Amino acid sequence: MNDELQLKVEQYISGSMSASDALDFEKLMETDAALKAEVTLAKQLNFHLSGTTDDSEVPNNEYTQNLKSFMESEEAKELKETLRTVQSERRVPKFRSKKRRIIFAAAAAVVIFLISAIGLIFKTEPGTEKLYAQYYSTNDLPSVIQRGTSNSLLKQGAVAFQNENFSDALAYFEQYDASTEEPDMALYLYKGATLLELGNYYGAIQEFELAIDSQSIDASKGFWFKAMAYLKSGDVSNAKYVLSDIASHVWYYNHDKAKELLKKLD
Amino acid sequence: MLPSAANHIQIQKLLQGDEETIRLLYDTLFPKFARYVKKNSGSYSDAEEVFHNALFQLIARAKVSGVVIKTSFEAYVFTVCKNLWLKELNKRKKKVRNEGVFELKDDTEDHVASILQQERWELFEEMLIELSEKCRLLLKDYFNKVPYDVIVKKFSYATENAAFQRVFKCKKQLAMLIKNNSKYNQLI
Repeated sequence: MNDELQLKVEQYISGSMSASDALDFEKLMETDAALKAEVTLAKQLNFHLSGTTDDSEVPNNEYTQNLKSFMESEEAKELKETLRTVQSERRVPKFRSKKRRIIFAAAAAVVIFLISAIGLIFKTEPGTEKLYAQYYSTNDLPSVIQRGTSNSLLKQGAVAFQNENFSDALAYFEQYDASTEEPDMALYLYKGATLLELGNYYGAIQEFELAIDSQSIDASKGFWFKAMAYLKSGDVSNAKYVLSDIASHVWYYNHDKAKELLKKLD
Repeated sequence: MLPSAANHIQIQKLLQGDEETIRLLYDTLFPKFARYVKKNSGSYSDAEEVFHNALFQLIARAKVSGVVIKTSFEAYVFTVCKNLWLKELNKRKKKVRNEGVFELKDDTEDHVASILQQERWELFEEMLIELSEKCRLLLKDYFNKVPYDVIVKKFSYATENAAFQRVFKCKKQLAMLIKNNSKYNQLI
C-alpha cells in the first residue's frame, strides 16, 4: 500500500476526514477487502498502542470455528465444571458481620495454637525445618545500603530486620510500600522475609509473588523465597512445585541449590 | 521476566483438566489477581469470574492451536487475567450505568472474542520488540498523548511535521511486521 492511501487510512480512523471523503472511503472499502483489512489492523494497532481495548469483530474462519466447536463440546463442559468445582472449593468464606469475623479469627487462633502444640509433639515433616535452616539465608536478600536517600524507609526497615526487630521492620516496609507506586523488588523480598519471620506465610508468599512479577532483572529470587516460605510452612508439595520451576530454568536464582533441595525432599 | 525455553508442563496438566494444577493456581495466583481487581475498581466476584474465564480460554486455545509461553507460567496467566479484566473495565465504562450490577458473560462468542484479543495482544507485543528502540519509544509517547513539541525536543526532530512523518513510518513498519507473521491471518 502506498503512503498516500496509508495516510488516508490514518485520517479515516482518526476521524479527521471530511464527511463526504469518509463516505467515499467507506464505499471504496466495501469493494476492496485488502483496504478494509488495512483499516482493521490500523485500528487494532491504535487500540494496542494507546492501551485501550480492541473491540474488533470476531472473524469467521477455520480457527474461530474450531474454537467454537471445542467450546460447545462435552469435554469443554466437563472442564468448566471442574474449574467451577475448584473455584468454590477455594472460595474465601464471606462473613456478614464484624462479630462473626472476630469469632472466626478467635477460632482460627485456637486452631493454629492447637496445630502448633500438636506439631511440637508429632512433627509430620521431620526434615522440613532442618532443610529450611540449611537452605534459607538472609544473605540472599538484596543489599539496600547503596540506595539513595529517597529509600530511607527501606533502609531503616532493612536495619530493623537485621536487628531482628521484625515488627518495626514491617512498619517501615508498610510505610514505604504506601509511599511508592513503582514496583520495588527489594521491598517485596524484605517485606516477605519479615512476614515469614512473623509466621505470616500467606502474606509472605504474596510479597514474593509481587517480586516475581516486578519485571526486575533478578526477579527470579522471588521464586526461591517463595519455595522457602512453603518449606517453612511445612507445605512440601507446593515447595517442590516452585523448586521444580527453578530447577527447569538454568538462569533462575539458586538453580543448583533448588535441584539439590528437590532431591532431598523426594 | 526471563524467557523460557521449554513450554510449560502446567499447560499440559491444565489440558488434562488436572485439578491439582487448577487448585495450585487458585492458591497461589488467584489471591494476587483478586487483590489487583479490587485495586482496579472490581470486586472479589469479578475476580472469580475473570479468573475462571481466563483459565477456560487458555485451555481452549491450547487445545485448538497450542500456546507458546515466553515468560514464567504464573506471570503469563496473570497477564491473560489482567488483560481480560481491563477489557471488562473498558466495556463497563462504555455502558450506561442503569444498574449497579454487571454480569460477566460466560458464552462462546465472548470467549472466542477474548481469545482473539489476547492473541493479537501477544502478537503485537512480540512485533513491537522487532522495531528499533527509537521507533518503540516514539510510538509509546505519541499514543500516550505526549505533546508534539515535547516529542520534537526529546527525539531531536526539526519540526512537528517531521515527528509526525516518523510516527507514521514506525506504525507502517509495525503493521508490515504483523502482516508478514503467519499467525495474523487467523486473527483478523
